[in-house]
Amino acid sequence: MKNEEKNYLLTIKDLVVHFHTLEGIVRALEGVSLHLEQGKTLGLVGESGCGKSVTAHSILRLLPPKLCKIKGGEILFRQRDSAEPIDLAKVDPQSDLIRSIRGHEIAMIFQEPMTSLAPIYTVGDQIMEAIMLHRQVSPEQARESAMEMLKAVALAENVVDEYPYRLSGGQRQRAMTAMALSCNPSLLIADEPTTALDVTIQAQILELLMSLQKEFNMAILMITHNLGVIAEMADEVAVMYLGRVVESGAIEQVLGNPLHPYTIGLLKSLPKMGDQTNRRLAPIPGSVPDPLAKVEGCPFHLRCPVYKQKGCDGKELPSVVEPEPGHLVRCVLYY
Amino acid sequence: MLPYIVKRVLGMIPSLIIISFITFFVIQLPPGDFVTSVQSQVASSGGGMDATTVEALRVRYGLDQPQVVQYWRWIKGFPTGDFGYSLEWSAPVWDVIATRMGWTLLLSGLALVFMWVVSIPIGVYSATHQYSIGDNIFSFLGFLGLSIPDFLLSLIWLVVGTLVLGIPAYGLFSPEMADAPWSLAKFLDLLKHLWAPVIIMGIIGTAELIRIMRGSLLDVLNQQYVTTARAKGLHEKKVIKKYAVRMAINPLISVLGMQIPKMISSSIIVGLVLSIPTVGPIFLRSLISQDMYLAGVILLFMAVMLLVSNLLADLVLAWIDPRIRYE
Amino acid sequence: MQDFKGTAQRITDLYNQQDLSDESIAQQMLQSEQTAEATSQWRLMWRKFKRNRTAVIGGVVVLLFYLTALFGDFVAPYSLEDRMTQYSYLPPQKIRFIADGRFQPHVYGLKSGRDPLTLQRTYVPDPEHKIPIRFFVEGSPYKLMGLFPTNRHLFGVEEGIVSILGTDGQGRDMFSRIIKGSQISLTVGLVGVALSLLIGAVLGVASGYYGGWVDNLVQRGIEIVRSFPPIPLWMALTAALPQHWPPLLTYFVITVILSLIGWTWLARQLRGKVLAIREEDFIMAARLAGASDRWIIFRHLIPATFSHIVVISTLSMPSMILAESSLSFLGLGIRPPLTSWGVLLKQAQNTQVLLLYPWLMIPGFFVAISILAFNFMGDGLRDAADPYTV
Repeated sequence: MKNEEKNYLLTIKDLVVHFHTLEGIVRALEGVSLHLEQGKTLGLVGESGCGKSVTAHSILRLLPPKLCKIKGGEILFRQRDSAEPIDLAKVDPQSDLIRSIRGHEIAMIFQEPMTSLAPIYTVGDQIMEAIMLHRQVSPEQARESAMEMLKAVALAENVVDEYPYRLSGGQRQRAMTAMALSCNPSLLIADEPTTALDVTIQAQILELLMSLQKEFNMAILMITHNLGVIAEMADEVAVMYLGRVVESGAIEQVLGNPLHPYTIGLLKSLPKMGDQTNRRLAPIPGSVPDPLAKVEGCPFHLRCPVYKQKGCDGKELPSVVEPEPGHLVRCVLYY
Repeated sequence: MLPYIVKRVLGMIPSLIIISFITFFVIQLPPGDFVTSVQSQVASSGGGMDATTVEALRVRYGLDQPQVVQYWRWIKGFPTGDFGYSLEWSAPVWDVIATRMGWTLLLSGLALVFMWVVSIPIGVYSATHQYSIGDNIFSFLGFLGLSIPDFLLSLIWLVVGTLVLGIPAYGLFSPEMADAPWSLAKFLDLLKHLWAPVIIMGIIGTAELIRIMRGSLLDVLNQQYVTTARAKGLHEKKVIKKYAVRMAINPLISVLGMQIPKMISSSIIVGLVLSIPTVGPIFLRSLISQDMYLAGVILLFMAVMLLVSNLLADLVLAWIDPRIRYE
Repeated sequence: MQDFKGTAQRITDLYNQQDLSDESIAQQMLQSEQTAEATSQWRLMWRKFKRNRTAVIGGVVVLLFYLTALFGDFVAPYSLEDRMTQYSYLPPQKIRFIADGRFQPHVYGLKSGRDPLTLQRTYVPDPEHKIPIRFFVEGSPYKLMGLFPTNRHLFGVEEGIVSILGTDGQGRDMFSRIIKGSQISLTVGLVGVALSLLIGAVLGVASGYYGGWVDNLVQRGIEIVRSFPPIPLWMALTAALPQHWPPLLTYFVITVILSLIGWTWLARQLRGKVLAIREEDFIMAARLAGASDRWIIFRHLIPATFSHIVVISTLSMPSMILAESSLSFLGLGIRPPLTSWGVLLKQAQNTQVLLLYPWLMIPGFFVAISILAFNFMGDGLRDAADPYTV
């Protein structure tokens, strides 16, 4: 395939992740494929439980190793100074290698700004720790850079000596961003970074991320269930359902011309600006199936209106087709 | 921090007054008084006391005064270190209990150290190896430790130590050392006798602390900031030590105040069974003989120990957690 | 293949044709609710409890103990005060099961003598003299459960003695006394917890639900009670009971004294639960619908906290049993002729006696086993009652 030829920063191929819980095996990811270019933004959307967060945590190998097993697939990441990408799926999650990548080349920010910073250390301590871990600098220099980073995210310099509980949610997320960017990563994974924030603060954080992206030329993997956020930020979009990517492509393709019944349903369930027709919002019928139950065949068929109208049989897992260049969809209707 | 300490210490004063009231009320509860119990003792050994002697004794000990007066006479000496007079021992209360109090504090202190030193590493291991064989074994041992009463442990130790291992399992010193002046040999002899009671007193607490530590660490390990620390690239050991354990230890400190009363109870029973001169045996005796000031001071002392250890726990918590310190 | 836009349009149309009337949406929501509701809270709890093996074992042991206590006079081969002075301080006997090649439980007969040095009485089992153990034998008369007069015992011997846990200094069978003792030791826990529950539930629920000065008053009260270490306070209170009181009265007053301190823990736990539940939507809904406080407390709060009450009661049984045996062990609790495990243990307090006759501490093991069983069971119940953990 010609995609292979491109120098993607991150390529995920057929990633399979299982959770071994006391209740049984949860198939969290059943073959996820993604790719992300240097300096671009990929949005990963889906309902809660679809596996978007698991995908993000898998990249940095942050899933609890005893509970969560990578059963197959590759996570190819191109490091700064090497031509050949390494496969993070094969790396030991406790190894020095993965730790030299965490926070240094790939950084991550999380959904809950209220709990993602440790309450007992100052913001400065926590940022300096990251800097000193990956760069050969003295504590004084680290403090200098920490203060610079805080300025870059539009926080006052004296926040460096504050404890997290003294900051507001938005300020904490800024501090968190400052920490993530302190070592100038080439990829930032943002796991629902604005979900827990007020709408106005959300906009500020997104704007901040976009301007920092330009400044540092980093790629962003943006995980969210909010299509509005995606529309604003992303260059490419991948829609996930039940551990699989069901549709992906450029932002204009997927949002402007959605193909998969699930994507269409997601967009139909959103209110439209300026819509005067007084129509009801159309929810997607049913709910996400029990994670322990394995859905055979097409993952979406149980909730799909086409299946309900006997438009397809849903029996087998559809393969990925490419109706227009770069726009991939996993649905038999487009064979 | 200083205003916080002052506030807490001042806040203790009303509690102390109420506690002393209740203590006095409780030790006054038994029908009759020390003189009646002396009377019945004399009677049981075949003697008798005439009414004037009885009255004289009552007047001498102030037992004829109204309760409020008795309470005031008892309590007013406390600030100057006068804790009243033990009727049974015919000596100031303080002289009777001073060394015993020392032994009680020493044993309790050592038992506390034992509890912490043993339970934290085990708790950390259990939480970081949840559901492993080791975790299951420790959990089971914890349950066992929680369920074996201290009097049974002391009895078992007495029998096993003496009959099976052939070591003197009771007392603080070997008979030949008891009256010897302090020397290295005597100190070593003390150590030989001390470790078993310390472990017996500490075992229930240890089991509790292991459970608390394990649960608390499991909670903390699920916190977002632990993942943040890992995502930074920190070594797992450092993540556990600097972030997880440091936070998980808070509930351990806050139960410190609850461990102290258990230590005290244990020291009573262990002291009695293993013939160790803690305040326990003498407390029991004073209750039975209605030696009220002695019993009262011991009860009061135990309550104060509890109060002070709660205060200490709060201060330590405030010291290590900035959120409490500033609010 | 080229017509992918047409296909997408067809899917969009299908979504538009969905029945979006209120009834159909309500129907859908109901369907997904019902699957969750079908299994009730208690069934879920039971299912989860059953999976926890140690908890089930604990539960079975608890049940067994209470059944034995209930039929104590039947299970025990001797009565509480049956003195067989010729067998004083008899060590536990070994029960043998095979005699002459077939199954026949028996004990050896005993030849007693005196140790020439210590002058202690010694017993030598005589392998030639096999005394068969009979089931449903006649023995000392009693009333089963205090109602039906009978003299049948589960097992016994027709000559000599069967004493699987040895005898005490007066030749009383320890096994029989332990079983009779369990009647006191195990009911002190039940009655004590019931009383604590009564005080704790009323004050705990009230203080959690009303808040304000009620809460303040109850909390200060709890703080004062808890500023004393429990065992010494219990000791002081029980020491105050007049010696001439009848033993049964002492027994009841002791359970009252135990619950006087025990309720504080229960009240604290319940208050926390009530505080959490008070904020839930269904309470708010009831209040908005104009329900009275009493209605809310009895129809919503108490049922919602019921599973926690069960868990908390189970978990506070061990401390009650422990407190009773500790106090009786110290001589401040139950008084003879009533017998509890702690009373039996009092004989072991004398170091010299204990070292000569170590089986006197066996009642302590019964205390430990019952506490262990309650702890296991309570732990399993707690896990089962918490719907949010796996």
